[in-house]
Amino acid sequence: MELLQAAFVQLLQPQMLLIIFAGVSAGLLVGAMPGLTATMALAVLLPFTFTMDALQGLVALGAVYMGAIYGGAFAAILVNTPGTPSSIATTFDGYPMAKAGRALEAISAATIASVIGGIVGVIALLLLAPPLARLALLFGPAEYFWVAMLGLTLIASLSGGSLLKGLLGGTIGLLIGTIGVSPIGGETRFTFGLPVLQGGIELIVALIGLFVLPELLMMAARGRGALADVTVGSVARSGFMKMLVEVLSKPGNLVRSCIIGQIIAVIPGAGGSITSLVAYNEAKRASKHPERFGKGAIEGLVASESSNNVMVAGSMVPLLTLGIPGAPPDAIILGVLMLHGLRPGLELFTTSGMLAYGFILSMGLAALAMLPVGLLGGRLIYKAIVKTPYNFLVPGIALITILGTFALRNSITDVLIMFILGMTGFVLKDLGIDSAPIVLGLILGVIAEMGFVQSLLRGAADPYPILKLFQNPLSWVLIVLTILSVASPYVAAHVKRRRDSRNGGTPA
Amino acid sequence: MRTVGSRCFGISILTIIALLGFAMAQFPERPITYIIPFDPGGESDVTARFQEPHLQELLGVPVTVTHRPGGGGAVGWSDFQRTARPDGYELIGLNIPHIVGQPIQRADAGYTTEGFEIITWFHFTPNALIVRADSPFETLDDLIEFASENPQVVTMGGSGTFSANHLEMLRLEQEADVNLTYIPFTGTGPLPAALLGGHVSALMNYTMLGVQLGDQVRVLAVASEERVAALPDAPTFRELGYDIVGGAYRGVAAPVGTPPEIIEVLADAFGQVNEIIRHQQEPLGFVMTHYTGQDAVDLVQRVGEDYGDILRPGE
Amino acid sequence: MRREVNTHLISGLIGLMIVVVFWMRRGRLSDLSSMFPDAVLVILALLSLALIVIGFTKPEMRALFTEGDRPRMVVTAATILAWILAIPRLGFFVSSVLAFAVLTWYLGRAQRRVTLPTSLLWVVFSAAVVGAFYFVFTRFLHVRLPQGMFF
Repeated sequence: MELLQAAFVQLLQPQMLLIIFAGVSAGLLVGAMPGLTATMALAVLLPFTFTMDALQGLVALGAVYMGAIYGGAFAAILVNTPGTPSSIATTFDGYPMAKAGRALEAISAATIASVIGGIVGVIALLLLAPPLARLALLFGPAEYFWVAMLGLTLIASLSGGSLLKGLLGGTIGLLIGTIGVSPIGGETRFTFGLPVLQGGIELIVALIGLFVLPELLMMAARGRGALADVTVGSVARSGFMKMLVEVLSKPGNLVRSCIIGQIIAVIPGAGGSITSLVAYNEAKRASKHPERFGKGAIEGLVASESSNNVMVAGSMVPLLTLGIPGAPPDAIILGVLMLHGLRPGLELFTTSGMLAYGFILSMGLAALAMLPVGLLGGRLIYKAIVKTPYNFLVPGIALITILGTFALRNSITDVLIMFILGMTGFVLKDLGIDSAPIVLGLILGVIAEMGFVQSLLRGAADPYPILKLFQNPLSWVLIVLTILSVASPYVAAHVKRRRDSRNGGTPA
Repeated sequence: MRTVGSRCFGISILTIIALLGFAMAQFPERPITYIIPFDPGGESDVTARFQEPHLQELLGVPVTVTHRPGGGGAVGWSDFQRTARPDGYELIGLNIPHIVGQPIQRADAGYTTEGFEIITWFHFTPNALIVRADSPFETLDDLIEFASENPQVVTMGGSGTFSANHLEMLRLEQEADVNLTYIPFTGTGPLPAALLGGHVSALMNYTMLGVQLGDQVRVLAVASEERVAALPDAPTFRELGYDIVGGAYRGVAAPVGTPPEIIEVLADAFGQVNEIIRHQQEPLGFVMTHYTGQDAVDLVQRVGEDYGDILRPGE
Repeated sequence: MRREVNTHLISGLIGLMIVVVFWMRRGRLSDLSSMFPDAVLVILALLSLALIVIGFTKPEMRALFTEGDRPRMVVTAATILAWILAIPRLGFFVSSVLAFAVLTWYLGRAQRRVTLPTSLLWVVFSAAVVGAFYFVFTRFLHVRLPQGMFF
């Protein structure tokens, strides 16, 4: 406790606070640009941290990480584009809110949810790191496979119209995910003779293409910016207090989303993209008005944003206690720890306690810093997007997407892939196949494949290797959850019908 | 028309020669790009970060590290061989055995093993056989004995298929005449969880991981010629009677056709940097090396031959 | 004017087309590499067939791309494609300024009459925006943007 106090005091130096604010602001900016990811922000920042001492460096990286994940919400709300993969689910309700003239309210709600999520993650990291680390270790190949299966059941709630079309989209996503070097076997698949496809289709490239391009073309077709209608008077205020009350009045949603975020965060490799989708799905399932989701439900927005910001500190659990980077940005933080000769592990908290606790607490401060930075920045970005005439907005967003896609892997082929996927997604969307299931398939395909094939390999000496998928208690839990997730809409509908018929009245 | 064309041609040749001479005399005079064909945060990236500031100081120009990840390095390498200009201002990180194995394994790797002007192989991370601290396998002999009685039961996690890890395990199978099950993971990242969570019986990975995981694990053997400074208690495979030396070499290359003078300047700089960062890298489990010129090419060839019978079982 | 089409049928046909294209490029793979994609291909084929069947039994007839001005959408898409294709040849800066200016002018015309001075102003503006991004990306983010025949 004394250590914690001492660590906290050293964070209150003006220089540290400056680093935190600057880091959050920079992260926010990067996160808000589609294509520029938290990983890239950290990689760019890395050389600068060499001139700082270990704590300052880590604090800066933590702040940027926090800011970037949060910044993704801005692009999601204002342009219908997940700025980072973690904010996919934020688009579902954030953008409809913006289109209804409630963009600033959406930003306020996202900010509040993000701050709460960030702080919850830090508290969990401080108090629960050892048990959470043990939980992380329970996930083996079979469990990963079932996590992916559970994730795929989200297709049902993500496909707007026909379930069959949603499944088709999800399967196309799975197929796109198999492009490149096979994770097991090491052979190249479906590269169509292009060496660059050995690297597969990067998730972010697909995200940008599938989400931004259709939006851009619709803007061009309509002849006005998507938010242009609503500029007139309706949103002068951010409604911060109103949103604060609104968000806090549904504590169940917050608690559930934070728990989901925390659990998925400690599963290495699952990452923020799944976190927010699962939290969104659960919020929708628990809601009394699931039909409002996708049309501007604040609960959906809050679920997505609170869960993905829990993940920032949450993914530090396996990193700091076991040396396992759970998400790509964590790998950079691990690199910095190693550069300074710090070895992750529980002894990090005893031997370098000041540093470890300082780093963790600084993430909490970074989460708090998002409040002023985000509200101010959000207002500016919002104004910029609304005030800009659409004939500048369209090429401007196109420029940013091209740059962002290129910068990801320094590849112009990626930009072309982005365009092709975007056009395909545009057509599919009009046919009733939404982008969300495609992206979900793309995210989960690799996890499912690795888990499945690794499980079979583990059972190489057994008569029936496939049984490896069904042997652990945790697998059973996940299987039951998967079945429940598939069956629950039907059960709910059945129950409702029974109740309706018992009550006598059956409104069509 | 023709004379004008050929005169132009002549002039441009002269200009190029003049420029080249200038470049050689002055090299380097503008920023150097150092491409890492892997994700940020990996061993290649961390090493480049170590080198970057010292290279800048020695060469007197900025050195910019950029990433071109994908396909286990192949995306960056194929791109580099297609587009990089042989002027010494574009460098790329290389890995053995990746650049040996991939072109054999893949029909469309997009690059060739020989298509690089290797500047130096600057370090070596030996393979290490790692088990959990509470594993029943106290020694390598325990593991081999168990494996020979229970074929395929011992599962060994490693990074990637036909990687240094995988090839080393295949060699151990040959040498010890046992049958193990190799389980590839994507990169080193997921390996600690797989081992510590008991999802694999052992890991064949690099010494770095043994150092990083500390006393949570036991390193049964390392595949280096001498014991590794950072793991003084871990015996070598040779000590234990298995002729296994291998791991991953990391190095840096320029495009084919880069003037030898420039290669020399760069090799020199990387060599000096190696000495400066030795005290930072050795505690992490790296073994510093400096193979340049023909030695560097020979190393690739030797590794290729070593692995040849495993990579090309049919031939 | 806008023809209604059977979306289920088209979706199914697109799915089948993807299956065929991927199947033809599958090549020779070991079991480890092929079991997952093969399973996905089979599922995709089944889903596509199901959609085709539904397309015949319970067709959903709907007009596509009904919102807004279709030619403008196509021209915008084509311009962006040309932009991307031009980058390796003309370099990032030149192609982006060109494409940015063209799009600004073309889309601006839809709303009002664009005079010559305005157009020129917009070209300058385009150059400034692209230049600012070029500077930030190359200097601060260390991204090497493609340089074409000019610079």
